[in-house]
Amino acid sequence: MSQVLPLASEFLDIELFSRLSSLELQAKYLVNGFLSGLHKSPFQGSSVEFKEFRDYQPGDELKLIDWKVYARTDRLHVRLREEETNMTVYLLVDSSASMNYKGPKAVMSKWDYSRALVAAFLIFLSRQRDSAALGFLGAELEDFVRGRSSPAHYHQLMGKLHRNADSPVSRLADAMRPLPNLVRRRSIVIVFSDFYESAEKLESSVSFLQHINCEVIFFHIMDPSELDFDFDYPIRMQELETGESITINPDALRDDYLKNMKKHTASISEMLMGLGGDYLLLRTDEVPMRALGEYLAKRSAMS
Amino acid sequence: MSLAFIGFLAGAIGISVPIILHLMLKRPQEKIKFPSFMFLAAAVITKSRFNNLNKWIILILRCLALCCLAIAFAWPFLPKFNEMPETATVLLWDNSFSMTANIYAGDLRGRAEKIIREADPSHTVMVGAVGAKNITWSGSFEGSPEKLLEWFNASGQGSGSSYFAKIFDVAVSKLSETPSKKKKIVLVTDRQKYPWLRCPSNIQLGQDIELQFIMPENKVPRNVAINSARILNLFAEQGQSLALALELKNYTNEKLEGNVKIFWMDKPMQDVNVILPPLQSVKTIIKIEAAELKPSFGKAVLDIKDDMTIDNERYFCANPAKLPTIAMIGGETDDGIDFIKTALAPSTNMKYAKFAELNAKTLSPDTAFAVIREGVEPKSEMGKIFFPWLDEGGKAVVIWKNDLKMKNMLLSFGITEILSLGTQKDVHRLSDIDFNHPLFKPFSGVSSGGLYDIMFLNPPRLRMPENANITAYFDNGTRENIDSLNRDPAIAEIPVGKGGIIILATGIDRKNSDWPARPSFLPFWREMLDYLNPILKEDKNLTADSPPDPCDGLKAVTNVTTGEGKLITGNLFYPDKIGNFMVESATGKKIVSVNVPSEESDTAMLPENFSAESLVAKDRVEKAKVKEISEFEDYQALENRQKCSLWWPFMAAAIIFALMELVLANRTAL
Repeated sequence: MSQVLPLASEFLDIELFSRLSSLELQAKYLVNGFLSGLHKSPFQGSSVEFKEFRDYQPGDELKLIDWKVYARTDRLHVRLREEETNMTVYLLVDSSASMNYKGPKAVMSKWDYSRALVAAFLIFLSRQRDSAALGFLGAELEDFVRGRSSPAHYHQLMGKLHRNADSPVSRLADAMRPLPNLVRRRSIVIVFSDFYESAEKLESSVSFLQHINCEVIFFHIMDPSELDFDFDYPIRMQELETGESITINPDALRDDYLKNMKKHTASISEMLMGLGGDYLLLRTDEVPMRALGEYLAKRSAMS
Repeated sequence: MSLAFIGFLAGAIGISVPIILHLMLKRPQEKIKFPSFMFLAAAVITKSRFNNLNKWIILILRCLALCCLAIAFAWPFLPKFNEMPETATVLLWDNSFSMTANIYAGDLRGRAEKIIREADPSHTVMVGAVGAKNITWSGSFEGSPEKLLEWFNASGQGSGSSYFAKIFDVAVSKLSETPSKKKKIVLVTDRQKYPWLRCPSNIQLGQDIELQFIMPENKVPRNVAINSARILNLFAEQGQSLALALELKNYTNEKLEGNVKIFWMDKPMQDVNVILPPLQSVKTIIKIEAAELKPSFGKAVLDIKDDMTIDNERYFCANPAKLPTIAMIGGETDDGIDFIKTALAPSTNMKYAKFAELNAKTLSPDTAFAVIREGVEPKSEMGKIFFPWLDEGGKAVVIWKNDLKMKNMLLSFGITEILSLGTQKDVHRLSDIDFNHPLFKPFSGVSSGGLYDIMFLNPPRLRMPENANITAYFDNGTRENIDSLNRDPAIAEIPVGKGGIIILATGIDRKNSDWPARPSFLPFWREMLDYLNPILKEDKNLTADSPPDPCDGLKAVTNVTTGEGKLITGNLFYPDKIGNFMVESATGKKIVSVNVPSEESDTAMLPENFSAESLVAKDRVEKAKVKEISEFEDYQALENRQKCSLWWPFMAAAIIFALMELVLANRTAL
């Protein structure tokens, strides 16, 4: 786990963040906030600069020699392909109906939160000139866009985020099944979801990614009421995905719910970390600065 | 189990409905969307099953608590009899002393006891001892003969009279308190006529109620009774002679001779032989020498062979009292004899009153009455004393005197004189005497005490004011122009202020009347003294089974003992037994004599064809339903029916269910 940038939250406000009128603004808010706090970061040793040239080695293709650099420096350098230095980051967003939930204490739904975070990642990645791929995990993998790093590509991806979480069911494991044919080796796969699926089912997909040397990060996005279950009077609940309704007594069920919930999050975290991945639980009533830091740590570890 | 107030059960149904509706229909109003039931599923399934069960348990507990509460209010009880008895019998025992006539007492009692002995849980019996004013009951309908016999032997020995006007209504009411297949009223009585006075002849009985009489077979008891024994004069002086007036009556058709023994302070004093003509009363006065001036008592015992012996004894008493004062004015006769004084104080040892000249001292609130034989002018010294005294409650007997002063005084009372046109030798006698008036009541009887024999010479013709109560008239003698509306009053009572006068329209000296020579003269004046003297109204002679009137002198009783000193009771004097009793109260000690009622001595019998069916109404009502306990006037009726009350276990169960409901329920929807 990366170290948290604690001071970023001092000047980033979740209320303000939620009221920003567009996804792009929200994303920039996150990124700028993250970056402006970065100089205070005790996180040292990370590098944001990327090498574009290297010395000529016998056997390199002559077409790769950058003659302009030679004219300036009288030294032979070859220009590296972006693909050789840049990372492809696969951003997979849970688009099931459960992501539409917004509890009484949250300022935004899990879906909006996820979208804003993904948008921030896109901006961040574009500045890093990493490739970004985007896909939506519903009943299956939807709307998948392969990784590119051009501005036009990022613009396209940003446009893809302007949609609803309209998948009736959440089958993360099934949706992630095509990933072996889509994900390149040594990539970073970030999943943004509420993970209402068992760790056992997710493990096969994660283990494959781990097998092809991908770094997997799960951002577990949950609403405060899902985490605290702080209802205090009899209510009739309707499940967002199935539409099923039940009448419950929260006081009587709270302990069991929290126990089951913590058990589930722990199982996913253990499963992921056991496979070398990272897990981060995000509350929708907090600005997701840590998410960006987490990615940064992973990125630098892989460089 | 039976319920006394079944109406309360409706409350349980009424209250349960909203509770049930509340539990069945209530749903949380708020509905929210939640991402996933993944973490709820297992808990909800388990909890909802439990909650559903919990909810139903709570509903059942609430309903049980309410139902138990409603049943408790409905007063459940175990009836005395698990199954409806075959019969329920009300045995009415005539508890008058006439039932002691030895010619049938054993028979009647035996037949009553036979009914009682036949009682068992299927044939229940309740016994009522019928007295003059109420019925004493054995309790509830019993199947235990022993209990009933014990009660009957203790309570069925009456000394008073009985009265049947309402007993059948009461018996029917008692029968309505108990369920049974057959119901019966049995009256055990002698054939004496008196108790049946004012008894209705159309008794309403339900068709399921049988009425039976047990009576002796046409046997008329021979009876002679001492109907009255009382001291006439006041016991006011040490060593005084007391006049004991006895009245004996022969209720048989034969002339009888007997002997009356007089006991005074438990010592025999005199024996008096009496001869009793058939169906007649005999009165006699016996002189008793009272040694000490203290509450004293005696009894008269008639030694004669008859069938009812209880009325052969009569108790009497004399308590020290002040002699009343009679204030007199005028009355000197030619021969110097004052007949009134003679009547009321015949000797130094036998005085009924003391006399004084009428003046300011003698006219007081304590004065018994005044005798006015001369006219008093209102403006005179005497008048200034006399008339205000009358207004303040004084009583006076005015005796006619034919002079202007008397006439003027009578005029002030509204009495005028019509001049008589009769001859000097006009003789009149009394007619139309009001024998209901206390003055004349003792004279009622076959001979009217000889009042109609008295001769009055030239009595005045007086006209009384409208508010006068004329108690006797003169006959018209030889007077002419006398009609029924204009008869001449002889004796009249006229209210004056708070007091009043009794006017005798005749002189009572020998010139005007031979009354002083007649036997009725002395008792008449003694009755006058009794009537006008409030002290003498104190009733110390009571009849058995007849509670004393609160106006009598028996107030705030603190102790009652027999004449022999045996303590009976501490704070209540209810004379249900005959005898002499020393009664202590706030006003002091005195003797009270309790005797059998004289009307019970009358052996007049019912006709031979008298039967139960002749009394019962022909249009009998349908079977009466068993009454709700709530209709009963007192709690005793419920006590009679129930063997054991069950209200408390149901109340406890209601409380327990309510507590369990509170434990299981919580502040949420359930």
